[in-house]
Amino acid sequence: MKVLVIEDDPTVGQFVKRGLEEARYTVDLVADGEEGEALAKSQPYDLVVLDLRLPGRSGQQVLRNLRARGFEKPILVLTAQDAVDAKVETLRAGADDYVTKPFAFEELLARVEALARRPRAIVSPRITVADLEVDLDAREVKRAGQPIELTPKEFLVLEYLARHAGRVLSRTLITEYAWGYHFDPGTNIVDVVINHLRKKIDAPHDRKLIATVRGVGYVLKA
Amino acid sequence: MTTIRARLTISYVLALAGTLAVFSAVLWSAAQTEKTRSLQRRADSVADVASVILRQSPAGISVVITTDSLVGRQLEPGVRRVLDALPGLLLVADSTRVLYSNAATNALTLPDRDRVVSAVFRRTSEQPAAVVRMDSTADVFLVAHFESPTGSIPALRVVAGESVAGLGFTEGKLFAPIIVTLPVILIFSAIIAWLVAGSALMPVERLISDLEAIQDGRSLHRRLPVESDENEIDRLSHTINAMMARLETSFAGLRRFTADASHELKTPLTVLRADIERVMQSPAVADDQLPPLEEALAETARMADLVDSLLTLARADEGRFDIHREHIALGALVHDIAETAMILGEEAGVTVDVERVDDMQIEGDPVRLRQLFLNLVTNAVKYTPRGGTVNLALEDRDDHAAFVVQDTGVGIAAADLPYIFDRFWRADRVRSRNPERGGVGLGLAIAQWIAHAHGGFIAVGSRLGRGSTFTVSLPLQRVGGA
Repeated sequence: MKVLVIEDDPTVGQFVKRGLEEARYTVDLVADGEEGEALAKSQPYDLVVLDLRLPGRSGQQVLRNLRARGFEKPILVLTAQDAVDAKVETLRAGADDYVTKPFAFEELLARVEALARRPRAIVSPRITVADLEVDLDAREVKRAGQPIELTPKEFLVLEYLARHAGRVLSRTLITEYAWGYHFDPGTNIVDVVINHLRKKIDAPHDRKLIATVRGVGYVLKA
Repeated sequence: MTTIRARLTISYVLALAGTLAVFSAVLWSAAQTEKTRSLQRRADSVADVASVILRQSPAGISVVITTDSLVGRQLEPGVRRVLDALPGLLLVADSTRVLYSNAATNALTLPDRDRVVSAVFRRTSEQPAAVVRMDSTADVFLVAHFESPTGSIPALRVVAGESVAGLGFTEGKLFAPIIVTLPVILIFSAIIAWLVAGSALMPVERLISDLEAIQDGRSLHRRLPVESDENEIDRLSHTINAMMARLETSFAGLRRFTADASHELKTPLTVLRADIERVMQSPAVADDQLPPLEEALAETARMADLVDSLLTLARADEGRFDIHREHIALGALVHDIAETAMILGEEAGVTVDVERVDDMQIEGDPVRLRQLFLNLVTNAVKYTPRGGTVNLALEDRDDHAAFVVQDTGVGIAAADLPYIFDRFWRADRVRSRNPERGGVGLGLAIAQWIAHAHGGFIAVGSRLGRGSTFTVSLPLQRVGGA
């Protein structure tokens, strides 16, 4: 899968490029609208990630030009505008989806995967971590074959940990995953959910899967 | 009665009443003067006639006075009879005593007669007339007197008097019609004044209703109609229009600034966030470097949220309520919120009860509604002391859905209630008591904006120390009359 990222900010561009490469995409990064447009026309990309604010030629213009010339692959737009009419305008101009800045990489990846019409490369409907099984479709959890009842938030937090088993996940990222943006509980709400999960998942077993990383967050040990 | 129209009418009627009063007073005094003059002329002529009779007596003036041994000096009876025929009061006296008085004079009571007599003796030829007020009849006599011109024999004084009452002229006859018509005139002129003031103020009324239509940043492009530059109202409209043009310019500038600033802030936030996320995921990062990175990430997220809030409120200022709309099952949303509320409650030692959740469909923005509900729930738990209770309910109230959050928390002072939806508002009391209870005070302002954007509103009832009840009312559009 080849992805073209047109983003003038080097930090954001590199961030997106590396993130997508980690998810096993082949990524080309260009910082200029005109160059990006030329590249998109000459190379067989499966998907374009396009920043709306570009030097040289505006992202909106690149978007229109690509669509006018019959570019049919999905285009994901990065925008700072979260006004509904601005989004509608972008979609009308031919974008398939958009991500509003600032975004978590997780969100970008999810949208790229959805647009690329392929199953999540690192995710199957069933995740297994040690003797823990998380069924994403049926929303069921089993440990050592025993079904465990979880509330919706508990499931979301566990799902996120399981998807990234072995990686330290910060409280901020977990909160954003389970509660979305615009939510600042002012307390460590994640800790409460983790406590519930520990009681349900780890307490009856000798091997503890959920580990705390002090001052950061949690990790599900594979 | 404080409108300009009423004040103008009252002033006009008062001015008219004053004018009429002055006019009546002048008329009154002119009538009085004329009456006195006419009485004086009559008294003068009677005195004149009497003195002619006394002078022209065929026997000569010396014979006019006889001396009676009993009564002393008096007028000759023949002369007396002639004088008796004259009207009004009549007295003839020499320098010391009264020689003759007619029947009308004799009819006066003794003190009244003395008054007339003394008036006679006080008078000189330079002051021929005097007004004498009678005690007994309350009548007023106007008295004229004459010194007999002859230099011989003791000079005789002739005094004639006319009753004012006897004149048969009263002010009442003159003023009765005025008094009767006065109220009619005043009422009539009040009506005229009210109508005139109304039509004069009509352009002002129009101006007011035109200005009332301008409520927020959206309607600043409106201008008041100006027909010509001549009258005062048009000049006022012109001035207001110029002011609005300046306001519109500065509002547009402010809007542009907010939009630009938000964009300019969002890009570096994205960079910052990308950097932090990348570093945190890097295998090279040491464990002790993670906590500050996590802290930075949390602050970045909070900052992004603040920028989003400011941008949202800037749009609200323009009166724009552009939100995404889709079908939402409110019941499911509230169950989801309730779970978060219970988690928050568990941390804060607050019992969260979910009483009743009716399921309803609504057209709305699920992200924004979740934000609204979460904000109220978070506040309720935050401001309820350990051991307290927070009750949640979602009720189907026919034409609207009511999301009710009731707590047994610290409550809000009645004086503060009107301001809690204002931006950056936080009760000082709460702030000082627990400074780490975060938030910048935009939560409720945003919450109210979200409710308004959905055609609803948030109502609050609260008692200090007892707790608060927040009720979000969202209108329901029932499909198919169900």
